[in-house]
Amino acid sequence: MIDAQEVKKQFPIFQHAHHSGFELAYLDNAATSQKPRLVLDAIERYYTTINANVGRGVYDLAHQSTFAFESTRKKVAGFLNCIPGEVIFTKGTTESINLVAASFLAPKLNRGMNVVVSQMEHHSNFVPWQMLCLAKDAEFRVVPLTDTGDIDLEVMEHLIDENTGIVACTHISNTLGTVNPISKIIDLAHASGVPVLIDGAQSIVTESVDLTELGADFYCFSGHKMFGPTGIGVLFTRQKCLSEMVPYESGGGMIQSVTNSQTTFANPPELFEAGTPHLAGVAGLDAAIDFLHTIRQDDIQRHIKEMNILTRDALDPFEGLEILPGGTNSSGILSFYMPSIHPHDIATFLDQRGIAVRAGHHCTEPLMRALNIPGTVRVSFSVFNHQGEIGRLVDALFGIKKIFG
Amino acid sequence: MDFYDPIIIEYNKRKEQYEKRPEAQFCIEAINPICGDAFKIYMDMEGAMITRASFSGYGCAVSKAASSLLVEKLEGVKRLVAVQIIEEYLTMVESGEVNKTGNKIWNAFVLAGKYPGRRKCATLSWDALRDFLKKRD
Repeated sequence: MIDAQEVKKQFPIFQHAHHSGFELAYLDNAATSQKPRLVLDAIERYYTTINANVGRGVYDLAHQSTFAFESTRKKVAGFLNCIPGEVIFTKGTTESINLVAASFLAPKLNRGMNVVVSQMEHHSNFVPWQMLCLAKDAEFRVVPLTDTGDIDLEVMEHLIDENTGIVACTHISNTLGTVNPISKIIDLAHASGVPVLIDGAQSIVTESVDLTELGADFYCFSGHKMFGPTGIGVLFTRQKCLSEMVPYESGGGMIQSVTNSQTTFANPPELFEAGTPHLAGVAGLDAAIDFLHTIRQDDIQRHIKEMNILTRDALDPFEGLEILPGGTNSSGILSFYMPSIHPHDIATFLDQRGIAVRAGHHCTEPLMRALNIPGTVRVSFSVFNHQGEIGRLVDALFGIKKIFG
Repeated sequence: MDFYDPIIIEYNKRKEQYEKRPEAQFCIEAINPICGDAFKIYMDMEGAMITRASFSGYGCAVSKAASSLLVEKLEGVKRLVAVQIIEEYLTMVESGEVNKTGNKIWNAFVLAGKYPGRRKCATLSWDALRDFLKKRD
């Protein structure tokens, strides 16, 4: 059981006065999470005690920095139940997906092949594949959703065939909150011998992932959505796929030997980490994993699901407000719209009452087009949100209805 | 300050200026791809005189109210005068400075434009029409 008010005290941002004069109710956790003191201290401690570049210095400080960096790789591997060599540090989910598109799929994709994604993908798991398909004259297949906000698995099964280069699918929809049955999706793809990438940006906080059991070929996430800093992310790549990949960025850190005429490359994961990594970010990510262990992912999941259900129940009788379906299994995200009031007006009105929500297409424009709506207001919960904030949200929505309705 | 001044609410709800008129002599589009707001301004002219104006489209309360205010100002005005009015409005909204002795209606839009990320809502249609009218030199 989570005491949200107590956990909230660990997040310094809530000690700052909000411009509205109200206490900040931060309900935009799907965009980025707030940062607990533990993470902020770890970043400062990195810079003030062990800052040195990794992998090259022979002095003690460089050794400490390298040791800390590689320890985090091991911690991430333990967190995901994979081997450290399968953990590549990236800038975030977007770079992770682009890396797979460029290094794994691009060399093998050609005319007659296809890529399968779902209609609920974030642009970051949609545009890279769409661009690659256009460049290679391959077919870009988008699996539609059912009325419940779930991926239509029957259609997906038909769309995956022996010519599919990859299936790319999100674990949790950042707009609808649907938790996808990724184990089933992976089995569907593997039945045709197709590799699978799972976008874990929204799931990494609440879903405890065992990649050895799950069998995904690629799994990626961003530090900043799991209480860590921005600019750091992870790409898990199954070992058998690593050997099929060509270098992504080239430069320092990813080489074994360089002469005037040729270069031989380092082994993965270093092969995909050219340049100085975001070392302080890795230190922050390390602390963010500790934070998740302290609060417990299962408890966070239970808490935000409960917040979601309470909000849905409170908004259900609201006339002139439509809640988007959140799938058979829903996480801590919900989207709604009021046909007579623009989402930006709702978000601005709420901001004046200290409530931060996201309005627009949430980087899922193809989903909005499929649903035939211009945008939604999205509410996304975290560990520090509590019932009082839901009450404030509902009251404010009644207020805006009175003014605009 | 309250973002939603009653003046903006009133202009947002007004129906007088809202009319789809594809047969109009000119149809000027104002689109903000970031938020999806999209309006069309319909206009007839006789020589330099704007004889009829209306608008249609989709957008937030501020962009809709600003479009309504713009269209209201246009009818019966000569092109160069219209450009002058539009530029005065845009200068004021972009300055973020309320003119205490000035036009109360315009001041409401200046205040809305001061809100983070919402200035474009107050200027979207006005910018598009200024560009159109200037090109007709």
